[in-house]
Amino acid sequence: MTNNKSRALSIAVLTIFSIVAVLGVVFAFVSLEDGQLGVHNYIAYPRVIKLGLDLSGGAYAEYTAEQPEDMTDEEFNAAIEGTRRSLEDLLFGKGYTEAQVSSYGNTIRVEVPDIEDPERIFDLVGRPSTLEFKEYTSDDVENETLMTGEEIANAGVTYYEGQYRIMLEFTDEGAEKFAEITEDLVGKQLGIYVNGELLMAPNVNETITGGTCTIDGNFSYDDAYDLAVQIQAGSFPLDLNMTNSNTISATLGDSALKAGVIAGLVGIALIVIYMCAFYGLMGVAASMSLIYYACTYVFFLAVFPWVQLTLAGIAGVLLSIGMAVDANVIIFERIKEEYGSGKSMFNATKEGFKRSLGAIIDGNVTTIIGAIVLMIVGTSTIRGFGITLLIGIVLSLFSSLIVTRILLKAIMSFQDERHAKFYMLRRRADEDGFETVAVAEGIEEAQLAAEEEAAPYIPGAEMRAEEADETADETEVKVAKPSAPKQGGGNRRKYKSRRTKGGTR
Amino acid sequence: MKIKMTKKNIAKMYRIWFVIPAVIILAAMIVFAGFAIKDKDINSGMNIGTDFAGGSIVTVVLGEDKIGAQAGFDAELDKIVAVLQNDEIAQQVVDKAREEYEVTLPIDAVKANVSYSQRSDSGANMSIIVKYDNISSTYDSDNSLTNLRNELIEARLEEMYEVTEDNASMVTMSNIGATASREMVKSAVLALVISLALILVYVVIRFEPWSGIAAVIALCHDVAIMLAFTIMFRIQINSSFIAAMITIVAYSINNTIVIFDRVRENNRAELKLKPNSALDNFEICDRSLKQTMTRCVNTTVTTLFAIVVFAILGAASVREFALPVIFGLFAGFYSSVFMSPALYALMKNASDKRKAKKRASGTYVGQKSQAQKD
Repeated sequence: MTNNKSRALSIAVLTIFSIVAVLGVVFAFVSLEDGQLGVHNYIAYPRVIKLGLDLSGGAYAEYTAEQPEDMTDEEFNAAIEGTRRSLEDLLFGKGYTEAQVSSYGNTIRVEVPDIEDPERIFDLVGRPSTLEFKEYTSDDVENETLMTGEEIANAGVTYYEGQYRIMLEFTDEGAEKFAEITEDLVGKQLGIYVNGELLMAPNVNETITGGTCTIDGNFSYDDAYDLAVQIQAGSFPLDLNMTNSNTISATLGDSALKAGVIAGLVGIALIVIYMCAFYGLMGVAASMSLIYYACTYVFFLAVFPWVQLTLAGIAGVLLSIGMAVDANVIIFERIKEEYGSGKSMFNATKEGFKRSLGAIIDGNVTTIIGAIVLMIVGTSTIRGFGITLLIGIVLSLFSSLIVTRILLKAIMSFQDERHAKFYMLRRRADEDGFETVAVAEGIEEAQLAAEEEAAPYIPGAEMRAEEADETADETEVKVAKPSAPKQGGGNRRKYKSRRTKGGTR
Repeated sequence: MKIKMTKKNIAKMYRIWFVIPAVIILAAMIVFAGFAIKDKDINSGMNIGTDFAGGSIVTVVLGEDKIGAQAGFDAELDKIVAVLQNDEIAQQVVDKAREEYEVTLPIDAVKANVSYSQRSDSGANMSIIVKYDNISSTYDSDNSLTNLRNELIEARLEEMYEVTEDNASMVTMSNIGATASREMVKSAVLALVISLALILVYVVIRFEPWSGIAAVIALCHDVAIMLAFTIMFRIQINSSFIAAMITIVAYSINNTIVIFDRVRENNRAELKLKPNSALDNFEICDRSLKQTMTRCVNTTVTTLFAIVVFAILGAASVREFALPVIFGLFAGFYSSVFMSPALYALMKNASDKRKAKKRASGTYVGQKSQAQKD
């Protein structure tokens, strides 16, 4: 019998899901050291999530800038602010969305979260330096400076034709200048000098006009990366001297993180209890997909760069755990309503998912709009936050619309109509007066039929519409009957009085 | 649990629903004004964090000899904070300000508010880093008073820790600019405005113009209420707070949309039933919000669970942050359930009346197309 088949399938679905969920939970808490179970050093994935300065501390470095003599105070302040911002952008690009760069007077303070060694800051932003482009003829000859690092917008590593190359991106002005320079230097060598010392001297093969150029030289990835960072660090408008650097502790301390983890776990437990109490077996399905959601969310937070959890981020994650069951609550309420209006348990479930989709999609699209705007418009912290929010919404849609549905279907295949009470489904005509919509649907169909008859539209259709209403009423009684068996034919009056009085029965 | 619903028309009681937030906002304005007047400084109305306003940073390095077995970070931090808020130092600054700059400033405006502290270890030494606010620019446009205060604090700290050339202990003091700067606020506000505009466009397309306007007004209400509570409870406004506000806006819109979705559905059903009669907007809104009430309550409760636990377990700084979020959740629930349907019904009624007037003088065809449109 197909019933047996579907039950076998359901058992398979539930088993697979349980295994995945258990593994997800176990791997969230267990770390494996080298050699155990033949796994190489596995770290529990939530521990991989990068944390902001407030939760994990990090390291700081302070730089001072000398005011060049030909610079007015105003220009100097602007240059400091420009440097501050490029440092911030640079760190953001490297995934440190919560790094803080502040300036005062001629001092710039860089605080980078989640690193233990201040030296790492230099790996990230380089040792800020001057960068000059000159023609290279020999080591002894110093030619005039053709261009400085200020014209470089970005430097990075690309992989092209089987080797790592350094890619330079110029500002609009820089692109023009660079085109002129390379036109003059075709066949010659272009020297790139950092702090007056030659960093490299690539051959110029052709005039480069596109605003970007790549430098090849059989680099390893690490070499290319180091050189790119060095060049990028030379793109700051000022010479910076590092004066001070050290590690710093978290501003909030361990307690905040611990509180966050416990709050998350307790929150999930409370939601599970609440959902099961409220929606019975439907709540069980929602709870299972909530666990699935929590694991995948945490996993994605660990995997994605640009995610650096701060106090605000933790609160966001905690809220999103609560919101993740929102779609399920909407759906379950709808199923209850549909069931209350006389549909069978299975049809009510089907309809519940179908009819609540509009509200869920509309609600989430608006939130997604917000998240995307934050990612595009915001500054570093806000941008990182937008990313966290977006991941949460997309995953929660997946878990509440798809995972819950599959689980609910699997669970329901073991029951039949008599077990509706396990799903907290009741037909309470005396208590619940809200089957209007389901009733109205019957009317809708009758109305459509009547309208088809009535077409084409002619003046006087008023009367026909009245007729349609009559038909509708008959349909209504028929449709609504199972919902209020004891009320006999009083349905129409009931509906009307409800509408005019506006109260609930 | 079954939520017992009143028979009264909730949407129609809008007068009550609009008064409550107005009272809260008014109260916050009074508190704001009170603090501003007390310190004679408009910036004191709100508790603005150093990541917006900038501030000073003091680093105290303690050599091995200073770190006793029992004196840990917390104990030393308390000592330093006590110096930062020392009455004598504050009084000296107030006196000097009166003599040299002829400004009288309240003593509370001089005392430093610590925004956060950090610890930094290198070898056997321990450094304590404390960030605190500067004297408001209302009194101190060129930071001369702040610098004076910092010098006094530095001297006092050096005395306290017996800093000499020979030992490893050290006190350094520096000013620090705003990390979150004006630009961050600007971009956050810009992001908020653009999202609101886009949400408005989306809701107008998917629903009706009136739903869009009502939803956006409800969101503005949430932001205003959160800000009002933050002012009243003197909670620090910093970049985390901005992020919290945005989260609330992002989630509150969900509640509103769910109710409007139901309004849309009920409107359609009603029009099918009686194509030519005017809609009773208040009745439909009331019915819709009662139909979705259980869901709104449930979602708000599940969302509250974790964040309330977080606030209970967390230290003071965590609570300070979680509280506005909790206020925001309540504000979001309130505005979605009590305000936006009522606003929608009010606006829709007004527009229906206008249309009816037009229709009375217009042609019959207009009526038909109207019925079809919906």
